[in-house]
Amino acid sequence: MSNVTGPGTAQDRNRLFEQLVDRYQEPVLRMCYYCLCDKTQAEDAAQETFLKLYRTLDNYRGDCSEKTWIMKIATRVCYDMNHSGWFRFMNRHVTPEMLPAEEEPEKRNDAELAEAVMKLPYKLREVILLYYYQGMNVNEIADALNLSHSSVSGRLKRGREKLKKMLEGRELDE
Amino acid sequence: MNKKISADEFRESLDRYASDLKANLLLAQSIIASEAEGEGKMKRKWIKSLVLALAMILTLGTVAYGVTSMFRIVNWQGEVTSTVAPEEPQGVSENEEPLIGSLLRYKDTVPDDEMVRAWFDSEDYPNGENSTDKQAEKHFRCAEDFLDYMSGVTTLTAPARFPEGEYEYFDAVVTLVCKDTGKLEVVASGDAGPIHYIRYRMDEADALPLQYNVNIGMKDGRNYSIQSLLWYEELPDATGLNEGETVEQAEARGMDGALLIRNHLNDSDRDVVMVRKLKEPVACKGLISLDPYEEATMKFYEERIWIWGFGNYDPAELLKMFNGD
Repeated sequence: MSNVTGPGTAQDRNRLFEQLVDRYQEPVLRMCYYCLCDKTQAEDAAQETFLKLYRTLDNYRGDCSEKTWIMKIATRVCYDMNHSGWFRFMNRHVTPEMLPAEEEPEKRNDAELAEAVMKLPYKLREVILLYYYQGMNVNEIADALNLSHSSVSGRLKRGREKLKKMLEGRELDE
Repeated sequence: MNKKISADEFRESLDRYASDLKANLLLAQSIIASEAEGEGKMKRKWIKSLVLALAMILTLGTVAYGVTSMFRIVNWQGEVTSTVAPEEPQGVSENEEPLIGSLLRYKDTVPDDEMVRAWFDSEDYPNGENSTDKQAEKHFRCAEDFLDYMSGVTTLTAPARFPEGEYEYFDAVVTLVCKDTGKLEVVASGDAGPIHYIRYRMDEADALPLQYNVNIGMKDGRNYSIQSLLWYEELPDATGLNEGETVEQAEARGMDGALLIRNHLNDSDRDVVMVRKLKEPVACKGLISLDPYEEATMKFYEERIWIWGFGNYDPAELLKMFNGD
């Protein structure tokens, strides 16, 4: 993890920003995709995330990890997009017909898991993704989402239960 | 026994599934270049200042603005006190003054726990359109956390309960100012291009909740908005009514006045307005002065609450949130 605290010159700032984009763009893009269930929206959200990151680079005080900080921005962007009036009217549910026809069992399992995650209610989905996909702990997730520790734990538990019902025969390790 | 999926397996599976999503190799450079040119998306905040917000809501009483020849202002007894709509404050748009965009962009960069007064130099705006304030904020995405926080707040009244059912989203923001007896610490001051700024922080113990905004979306399609705001004078008027709207008095627990508004022109109009007179005024250190160097003190005398139920609601149903029925 780089030591990100208040860049000096504009050149330092830009160099740091490029490093962060290089390091986090794909994780953020994929996180946005699974939150929004839409590739085009995910690209917009990822761009918006890094734009906000650039504008707030000087504010980072090192009081959380850089991943927590960036995911905080990304989840806020996705939440706002997901709950905008326009976005809510788009049909974003993933149906089996929309998934590519896969023959290999591994790809079939990947599709089943991804579809199940994207069918979770939004507030359970974002916690499951931050915990299992981004590898953040409960405290970091609580910080990123402005939730209490108990709210995060509760949503993780309910998310796992819902996924277990959808993934007949498989469940997430606690 | 179910097969357990480890975190690593989960991550690898989702990565494989989304493997066709590729990073934009030019993203960093394009953001740096566009910011250097002063372009970029603007995010509008729907409440720009306390004065503008309450003037609009009180004057027009609706989210969708419209003044008709049958406009009326009513008091808390539902009696018409005036049929003349107060003049709607005229703001300045970014098209007219590009520095407004820079001002609002700067405000967006300030962290939630900081307050800021930002302005640009101009003699063209005697009403203060060349300055903006941001207060400290607390955000909540969970009704239980919001109610838990509000249980310790005495300046504002939270609902006794929120609607039952499965939530699509819950979003609440509490705006905080500094008590007049508290201490504001200047954490930074200077210039960000043409924008001058002073940024402050305060201890949690000195924070005074000034307003909250709650937005709720239910899975069954019901949507609600609730706003509570401290106001700096005692106003006899309750709300403005558009043509066709009718009003009736109601009882609301803990409130000194409550009106239900019916027969809206459109679904996005507010349904309930309430008032609570504070037993003692509360005072804060104001960043609400037009003089950026003045740290004025402001006193608040009333709490006003508005409830919107988007869709065909009986406003009496909305009041149950506060009455705990």
